[in-house]
Order: sequence, then C-alpha cells, then structure tokens
Amino acid sequence: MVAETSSHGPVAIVTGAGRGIGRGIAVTLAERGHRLIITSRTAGDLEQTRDLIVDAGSSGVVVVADLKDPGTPSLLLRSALDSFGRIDGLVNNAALNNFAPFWDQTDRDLDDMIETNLTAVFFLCREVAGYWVRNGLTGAIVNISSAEDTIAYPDQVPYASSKGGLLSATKVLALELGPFGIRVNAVSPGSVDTEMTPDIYRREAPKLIPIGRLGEPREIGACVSFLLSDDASYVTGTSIYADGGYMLQ
Amino acid sequence: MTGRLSGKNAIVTGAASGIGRATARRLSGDGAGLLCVDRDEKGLADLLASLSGPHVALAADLSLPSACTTVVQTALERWDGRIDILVNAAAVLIRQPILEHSRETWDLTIDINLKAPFRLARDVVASMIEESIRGAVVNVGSIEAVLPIAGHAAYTASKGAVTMLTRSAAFETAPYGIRVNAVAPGATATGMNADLRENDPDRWRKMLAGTPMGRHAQPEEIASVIAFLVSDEASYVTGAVVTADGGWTLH
Repeated sequence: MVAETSSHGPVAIVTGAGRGIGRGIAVTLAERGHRLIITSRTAGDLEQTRDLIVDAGSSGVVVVADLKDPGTPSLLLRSALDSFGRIDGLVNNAALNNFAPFWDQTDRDLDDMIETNLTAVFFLCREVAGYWVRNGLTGAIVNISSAEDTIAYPDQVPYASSKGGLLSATKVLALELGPFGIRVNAVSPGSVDTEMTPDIYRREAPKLIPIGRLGEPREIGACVSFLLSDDASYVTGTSIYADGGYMLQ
Repeated sequence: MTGRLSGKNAIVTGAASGIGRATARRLSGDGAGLLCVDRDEKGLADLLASLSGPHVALAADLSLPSACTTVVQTALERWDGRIDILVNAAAVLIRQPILEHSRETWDLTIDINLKAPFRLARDVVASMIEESIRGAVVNVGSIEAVLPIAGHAAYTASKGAVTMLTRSAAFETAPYGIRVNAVAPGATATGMNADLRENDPDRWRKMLAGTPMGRHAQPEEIASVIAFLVSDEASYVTGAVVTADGGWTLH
C-alpha cells in the first residue's frame, strides 16, 4: 500500500511546510496520496514534516531554500522532476507576518513581507506554470492567502497589502492560465491554531469567531486538497474563505 | 473518498434534473441517505431507479409554503428527527426583459429560488439545533448574484438574495456548529439553459468564449463542490460562497 502510494500519487510542492498551516497542508495532502516537495528555510522543521508525511504513507523530499533567492523556483521544480518525474500541484503557503502600527513598520518589514508573501509566489508560479504550458501539461495552483485579503485588521498594513496583492495575482493567473487547463485558486484562512498563534487568540476565539474556535491547520489542508483535486475541475480564480465565519461580522 | 457521508441524511431539492440531480447522485455515491425533492415526479422516479441506497423521493411544489413544511416533516419522520444535510438546488429561471417582467414571474422566482431555501433552511436548522446535530446547509447561488444577465431580473435578484441568506444563516447558526455555505456556478449545462444551447448555440458559444476555461461546466462539477462543502472536509468553512465558474467572473 505504502509503496503504491509512493510511486503513483500526484506530486505537489508546498512552501513554508516546516510549521503551522504549511505542515498541516503537507500532511493532509500526504494522507490523500500526494507525494511532496516540502520547502522552508529550516531543515529541522522540514525533517519533522517529512517524518509525518512518511507516517501518512507517502513520500516527501526536503528542500531547504530561501524563497527570496532567485534560484529557488528552478531548484524546487527540478527537485520535483528529479525526485518524482512530474509536478501536478503547487501550494504557495510560506508567509511572514508582524503586528505593528504602520508608522512603526520599517522598510525592511515591508520588503520582507512583500517579497515573501507576494513576489516569491509570482516567481514560483511563473516557473511551474511555465513548465506546464511549455510542455502541454496541466496542473493546479493554490495560494494561501488570508481573510485579510478582504477585511482590515489593525497593525497589519504590510501583511494585508501582500495578501490583497496575492488575491489579485491569483485572479489574473487564473485568467491567463485557464485556456491551458491550469487552475489557480486561493484559500483564505481566518485565525488558525499554530505554534505562531498568540495565546490571546486562543483565549478570545469563542468570542471573536462565530464558530467559536480557531481553525486547525488540517482544515486548511482539506480545502487545499479539494482545490487541487478534480472535484474542483470548474473552480478557478476564486478563494475559499475558511474562517469559521469570521468575515460575517 | 467514497463513504465520507456514510450515515448522513440529506435533503436535496431540485433533484430530478441538472445540478440537483448530479448532487443527489454524488451524495448517494459518498454514502448519504437521501430525500430527493422536485416537482417532476417522473424525473424523481428515474433518479431513484438509477441509485442504490435507502433513498426516498417526494414530489412537491416548493413555491407553496406548505410543501416546504411537508418536506421537512417527511425527512424528520423518515430519519427519526435526524437531518444532517440540506442542499437547496431547486430554482427556476424565466427569461423576460425587465419591462416585461410580470408579477407572476417575479413571485414564482422569488418563491422557489429564495423563500423555499429560507423556509427549508429555517426548519432544518431548527431540527439540527434540537437534536444537537452539527449539520451543513448548501444553497446553490449563481455568479449572477454579482454579474447580471439581460432578461434575468427576477432570477438575478433571487440569487443575490440567496447569497446574503447564506451569510446571515451561517452567522446565526455557527455557534451551534452548523455550517451554511453556497456554491455560485457559472455556465452549467442543465435544463435551465438547454433551449439556449440548442436554439441559439452561437450566443452560448460567445458567452463561453469569455470564460478563461473556455467551456461550460457539467452539473457533476458543481455537485462535487457541494459534496465538499457538506462534508467534514469543509469543517472550518462557513458563510462562504465558492465560485465555480471556470473563471467567468474574473473580468
């Protein structure tokens, strides 16, 4: 069973897969038979994620890389092709966030967030979608955005800007790649329970979120799995808001 | 993922044709027991003959408030009070230029497309709260909630309303663990547009030419979105409208 899953499943790249939502996505996809290229800047985190992928009966290849490095997109694509001989999906999950009044945000803060959350996604999409288009192949891309691509939250100017840009990029990519049978969508999570989640979110969740709790990384993974699958064959250029109803308020 | 709805009881309206029929087939395949509702008795009989499973059909005209009551009562009796899923797929589209839109067109469209989903959702949700069931409701909206098509005034208004019905019902029921979502299909090959596809294929093709994916959806491709939304896979998704339009509304 394990061997079969490992040699035939679709192949996806997941960025920011060492922790939090990215790890949840990677493990959820592994459970559904995906083979994975997992990347982040931290080897130790990725190795733990890879162990979980193997436990789920699939295989994962660790690529330690900085998405700000111009060589990273081709490195990731090459890793997928060298390791598995194919690439079917791309999940752009890696993101940075900080909380500060916008007049205290530094040039560096802004550059880091725009570069990681938006620019890196553009270059990786270009690499992978370019490969599909040039080779007459198809695939699906899922960008992990945020409820903040639409609603405002204080102290989040760079992050929200990057996610608003990501949602727009998702739409244009879908428009341009639709004729090639390549689908591009987003999942926009609300507050998800990860090691990065401030304790106050956990405490306040029942009051702040209609569904009464934070989301789990696996619940974001399940949305990604749906969007990568043929069940979403007519879904492109949209975002699934997985926010427990947060945006209804 | 066959079997992910095993043991769940689902009401599907508009089940005799189009998206409703594809949804009934898909949910049955995923293991749910169904109450299939439609005006079209023969269509329901055909559907049930094609499905295996402990399903029932109920012919009902959902423009009548009493019919909505009967649907929920039938389900509650059949399933001993336990309804897990409601899919509101029944809808009508009557094409008339806005200045010729009749009172009858308006009322029938609003009754079936908006009031019936409201009445059914209200009564189903009440039973879910009563039975502590963390159920799911999916309404079939339309991209016409955001993008009007000439001659569709009542339909477009009804679908815009369904979007906000979805969001308000989701907001109020979230504390009970009940999820309410909508799918907004684009051009989908159903009986609703069969005449257009057959009699005016050029217009249909022209419409699709602006769709990035360059084709219309099969009803099964909308049913698969609904199947996701009613399943536990969408456990943190509520109040959402999932657009399934092949990119039509992108520009």
